[in-house]
Amino acid sequence: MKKILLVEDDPDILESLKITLTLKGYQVSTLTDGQGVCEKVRTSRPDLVVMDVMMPAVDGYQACQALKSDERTKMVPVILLSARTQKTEVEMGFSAGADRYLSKPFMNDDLLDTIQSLLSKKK
Amino acid sequence: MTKILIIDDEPDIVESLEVMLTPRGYHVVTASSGGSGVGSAASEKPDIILLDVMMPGMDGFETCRRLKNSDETKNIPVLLLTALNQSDDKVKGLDAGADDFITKPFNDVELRARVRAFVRTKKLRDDLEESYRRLKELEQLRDSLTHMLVHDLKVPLTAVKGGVETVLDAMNKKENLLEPHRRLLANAKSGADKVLGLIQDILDASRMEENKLPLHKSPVDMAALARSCAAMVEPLRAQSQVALTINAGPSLPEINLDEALVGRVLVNLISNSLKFTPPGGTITVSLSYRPGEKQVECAVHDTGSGIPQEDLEKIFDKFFQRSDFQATRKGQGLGLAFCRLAVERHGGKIWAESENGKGSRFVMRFPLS
Repeated sequence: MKKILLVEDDPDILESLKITLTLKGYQVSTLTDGQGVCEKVRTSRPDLVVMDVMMPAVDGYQACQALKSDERTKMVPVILLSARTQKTEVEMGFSAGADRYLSKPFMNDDLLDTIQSLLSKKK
Repeated sequence: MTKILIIDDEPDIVESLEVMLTPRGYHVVTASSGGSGVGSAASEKPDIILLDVMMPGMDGFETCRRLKNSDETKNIPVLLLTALNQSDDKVKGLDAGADDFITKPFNDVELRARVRAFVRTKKLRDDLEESYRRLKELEQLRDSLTHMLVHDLKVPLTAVKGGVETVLDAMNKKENLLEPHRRLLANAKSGADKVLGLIQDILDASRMEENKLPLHKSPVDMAALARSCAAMVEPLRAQSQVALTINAGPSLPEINLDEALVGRVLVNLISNSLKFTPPGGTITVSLSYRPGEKQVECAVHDTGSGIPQEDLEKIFDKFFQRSDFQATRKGQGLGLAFCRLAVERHGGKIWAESENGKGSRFVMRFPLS
């Protein structure tokens, strides 16, 4: 069973995404802030990270950058989620090392397809 | 004080002009050549320039052309000082961009009247330019604001859309609906409520700005109101793992307020504190009566991250974003603007205090009558 780490500060979105991914057969662990993402990825070794951009304390850009600049975690694909879709904001996501950038609100299938394609590429 | 720059190479004329103007309260600065006059105009920013035509070196026409070609000085009215009946000079002067003429010998009453007229015109022009600049600024603000609001509205829709899709999917496949599906719908509802709340805030803020929101005042027990507000934010409070206490001082008088409106203000303030207070923190709502001022005070104090000093005033502006929360902004800027409008409509005051690292305190005071 593939493991996904879900990082999102909005409790409604967090729970709903967790349920949807769980129903699709993923094993989902969660965090509500970018703080601690690196440690969590090192210890629980998820196959993929789905992370919100706008979070208090440590935001998605920062957490993604930290993941991608650490040898131990940089192979883990990261999908950033944000309602901010201006060119500069998307570019910030990619320059932080994100593999994909999905704009909120998205279709479940968009997220699921993106996850699947990143996981199959990884193999 | 109106500042006049005199550019003339003849000391006698400069002096006679100074004698006419200085006692009348004008601040006079002088330059003895065209070149130094152009420099003085840029640095002194006078309200009006009196410029001699006949000067050695750079003459008055060339000086005038340079003044009118520079963005810094082009809006300052230039009055050319010419000898009587020099109509050639007048044409050349107009072509060089001069605004008017004064002929020598000067009649001091006429001179002052002209100066007054041009100072008036300049002020109108300056005012016009200032309001144009402000309008441009507002337009820009509105644009970035529209952009931001649209995006704020999209966020809660993530839970609505995703949840409904999953449930619909399950129903289409004739799967049994289970507890997770119920949770998805509950979150979708909560997301929809958030969108509605945002829209309500936008509508209220603009209606209140136009003074179209009528107040429905009645005697209100603030302590009871605070308790009912606390009950409304209870789910959010539990999620945030922050303690919330209400301290009501003794002999708190009832006060005439629009209970629903002030209730929304208080909910807004508490929710705001919840957003910025880490788990384990405390939020205290304190109510007290200030007999001296005959005011009831309601303060919301949290142990959160606090507010940078430079932002304390600005957070009540419409659509303000905290300087330290550019990318990770959680609240939208409308909540506090709404609070201020609502409190001010009651003749009250609202402000924020914060000490670095010690959380923030939002204080409202309402007059008793």
